[in-house]
Amino acid sequence: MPKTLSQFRFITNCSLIVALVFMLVGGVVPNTAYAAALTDKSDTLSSLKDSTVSNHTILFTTPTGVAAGETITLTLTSFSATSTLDFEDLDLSIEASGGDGVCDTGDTEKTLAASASGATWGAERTSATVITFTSGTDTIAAGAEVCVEVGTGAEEGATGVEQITNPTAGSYTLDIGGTMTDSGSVAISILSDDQVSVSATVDESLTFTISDNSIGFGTLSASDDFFATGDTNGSATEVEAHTLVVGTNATNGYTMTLNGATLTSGSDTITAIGSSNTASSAGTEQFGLRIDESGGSGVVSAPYADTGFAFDTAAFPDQVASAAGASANTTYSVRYLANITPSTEAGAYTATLTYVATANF
Amino acid sequence: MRMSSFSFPKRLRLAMGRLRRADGRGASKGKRYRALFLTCLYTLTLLLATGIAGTAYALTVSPAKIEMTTDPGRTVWGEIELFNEQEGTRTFYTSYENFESRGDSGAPYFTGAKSGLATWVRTQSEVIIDSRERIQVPYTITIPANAKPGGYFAAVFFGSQPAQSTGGGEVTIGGKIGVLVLLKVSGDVDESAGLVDFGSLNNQRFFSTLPVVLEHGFNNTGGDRVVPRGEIKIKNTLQLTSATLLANENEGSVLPNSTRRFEVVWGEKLDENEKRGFFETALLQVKDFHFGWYSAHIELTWGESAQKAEATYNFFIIPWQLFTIILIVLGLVWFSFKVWIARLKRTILAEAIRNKQ
Repeated sequence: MPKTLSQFRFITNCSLIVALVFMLVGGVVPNTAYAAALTDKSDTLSSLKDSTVSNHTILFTTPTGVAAGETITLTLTSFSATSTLDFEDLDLSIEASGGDGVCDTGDTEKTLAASASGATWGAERTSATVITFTSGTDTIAAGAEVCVEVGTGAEEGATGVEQITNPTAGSYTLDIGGTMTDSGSVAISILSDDQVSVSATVDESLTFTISDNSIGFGTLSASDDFFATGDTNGSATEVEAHTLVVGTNATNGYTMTLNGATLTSGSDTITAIGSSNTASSAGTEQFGLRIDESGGSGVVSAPYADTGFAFDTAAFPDQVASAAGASANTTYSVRYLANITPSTEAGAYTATLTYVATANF
Repeated sequence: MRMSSFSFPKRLRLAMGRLRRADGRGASKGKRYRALFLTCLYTLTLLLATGIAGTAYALTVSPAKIEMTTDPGRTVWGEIELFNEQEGTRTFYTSYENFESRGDSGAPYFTGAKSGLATWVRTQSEVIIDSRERIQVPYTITIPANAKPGGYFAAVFFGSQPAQSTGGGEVTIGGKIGVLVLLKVSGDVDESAGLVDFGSLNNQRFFSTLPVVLEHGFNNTGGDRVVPRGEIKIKNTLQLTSATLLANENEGSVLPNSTRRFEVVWGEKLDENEKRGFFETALLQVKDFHFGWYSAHIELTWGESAQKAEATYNFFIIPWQLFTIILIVLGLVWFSFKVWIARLKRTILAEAIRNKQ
């Protein structure tokens, strides 16, 4: 065999042996750790408005996981975490089986403290722009979804108080790193105004209802009190003659006034009962009314609100009811009284009263 | 909206026709009575529907208040929505009146329509609205060229025409609902106003618990209405802010030549007849504890020139009901302790005597 061919064979065999050895040995040589990029990264802020405090909800999936003793750092350049921000303002939770893209639901919350100890993670504000989580003995499995909550949304254990102040409007990054193997960045846009103004107008309205426009006392007698009824026949016992209903959504409420004159027959009149709330007295000339209210926030005005009767013609148009603000419908029950003396002139006495409802200014 | 007209409905005319035909042909009594019954039924329905048989009044207007600014010599227009909330067609009659301030509550006082805005605003004289119909009523306001700059105030009323009383002892009830118009004729308007006073309701200085009802009077001597805006800051003994309240939450107006009082409540206002018992008050004092000297500072701004006024009112909150309970409890504890000590002394003394013997 020529020497050259023998040398070639020797080299080829050696190469094959070396390759075989490499192939065999390669499987038992420890894997070398290579830094991988975090996936499914996001940082959701409760407010994107500049110079405003905000909560952060940070999510990412770590392909490699986090080993015991390693750290996760969150670097928010140009943001500002107050010096009193501590582990109570932070939450760290893991969803090992895949991940659902949200925090809390299905997550396992990690126990946090100011420093790492055993299974408890250390969580601290390293500087105004850096937050560090340090593992004690605990680990995060490869492929796990990691959630970090910062601010008042961190409700595991104690509810968070401190938040992070946004920088001025512009584009910024959240860098996720530390001694953990994987790393990545999330872009954050801070806006000068993150709120959209939505406006709608509700016009003020006023509703006014009168249940009856003709009531009567029938034939009056000096020997008994008479009260008006809706059927115009009158009653010797006090009854409601009609109702008024007023309601408004106007912020300054409404006022209802009364105008008119007492019972009149030609030049004869039945004396109005006057400006003070007075009890009925049979055999005395009296014409007046009283009002009760129910529902809404409307109230009857003096002197019509008491158990006696009043008819203050001197103050006409006289305020009889009002509401100081917006009010659901208030129903006012109106009762009318007419009494005469034996010497009251005979005649057909009538009266016209007008109730006026307007909003307040 | 339609003009009023009256005609018997088709079914009623047919029924009446049947009645006439029945009579003419000498039809059976049964048919005649049936036709007569139908006629009566429709007539009654018609009477009820047209309101002859005694009606009510039910109308909603929107807006309840119109605020506008315009120049002398111009005509402005707008629409008022009316909603007839009743069954049946109704006619509403329009009228106008100027108003001014009455009292200090923001209620309008109507003063007739001899001049001013009440004579400038116009709309149709009557409006007929079908059952539960909602319509827009246009209005115009023509400002005279020589109108003086300043505030003008009037109302547009939509009222029922009261039916005339037919018998003795009857009272006819009419209703009107008004839309307030607050107009400013632009130009050089004098702005003169100020805070009249600031304090608590009835000048109360000592409170046991909330609510503390504060009130301030605001006087306007200018040519147009003003809306004072601002805050009342309440600070406690340590000068820490306990509450910040709006001084005129509903943005109420103060008309020229009037004073209006505004009420601001710190805490939950009690109903007029609501009274709290001793223990209920003490419980409230525990839940919402306030104690010591408080100062309420009001700062108001008004007018186009953003004029300002401020005032301070001092008051005290002494939760004496709570303190009384605490004192009684402490007294009982002290008394029990004294009794226990006395017993202990007696026991020790007795034991010492026994030991000595």
